[in-house]
Amino acid sequence: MVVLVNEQTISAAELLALALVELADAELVGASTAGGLNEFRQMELADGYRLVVPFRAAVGPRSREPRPGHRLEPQVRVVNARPVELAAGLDPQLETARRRVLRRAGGS
Amino acid sequence: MRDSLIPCDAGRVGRAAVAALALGSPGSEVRLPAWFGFDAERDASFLAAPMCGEPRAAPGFFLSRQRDGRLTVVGVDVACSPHAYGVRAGDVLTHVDGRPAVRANSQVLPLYAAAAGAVFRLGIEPGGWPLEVRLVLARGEVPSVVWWRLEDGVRVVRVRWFASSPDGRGDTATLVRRCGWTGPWWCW
Repeated sequence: MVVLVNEQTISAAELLALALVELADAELVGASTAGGLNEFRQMELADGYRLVVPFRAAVGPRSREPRPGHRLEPQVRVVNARPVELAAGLDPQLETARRRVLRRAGGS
Repeated sequence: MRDSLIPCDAGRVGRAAVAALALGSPGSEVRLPAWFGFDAERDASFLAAPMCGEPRAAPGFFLSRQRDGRLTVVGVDVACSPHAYGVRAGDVLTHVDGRPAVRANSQVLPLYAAAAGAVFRLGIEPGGWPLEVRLVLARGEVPSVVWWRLEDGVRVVRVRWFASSPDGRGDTATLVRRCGWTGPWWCW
């Protein structure tokens, strides 16, 4: 399994990616995530409102350790596609992820 | 103050939430609508857009940041209004309502927080040529999870945002399970 991440990967998406890395041996491909690996505390307010406040760093489900900068760093770093690549229908991150998936599936 | 532990002024809570968003995204233009504070469910829907990325309407495109800070359109939903207005992958987003688009979060939040019918002026550069697009947001049926299979059998699952709902069509976990988990795949 390969998880594609970049700076648009934030909060719950980072938590999911972290869980997949630690529990499902997923490989991260792409760019550094946004830095929103936090746990939130909810406080009940009046009339159905809740106040949600980040209060501590999220930790990996297996490592029990927070990540530096509260973000994930990909094992395989691929810069975001350039405009000319996108206009041509090319996506280097997707292509790298595809190759990594096939390589891992083939055991090579 | 029913069902409450701490008395509150909904407007003050909302302003605090928007101020907190602005701290993380300097220049954010998200503002509380005049109707905020009278309906918790509607207010939650409004704040959910900038907080968890679930759009109230459907901006219909994704952005990524280039090394030089420019924002580039990565993909455009064919079913959504930007596609009809000519926005395409590879276009550089230069302005939103006349303001330079230099930070993804602050500039994109209004597009996600606005309701259907909201009008934005988008400055884009397709192929380096400046162009202004008048975008009218439309309510689109965009699922939080989409998946497809590449030619060589690799399965792609894209999770756009996270939501829980008793209705399986709106529940991200249910939608992901429906994609299946066997075979080679990658998650976006």
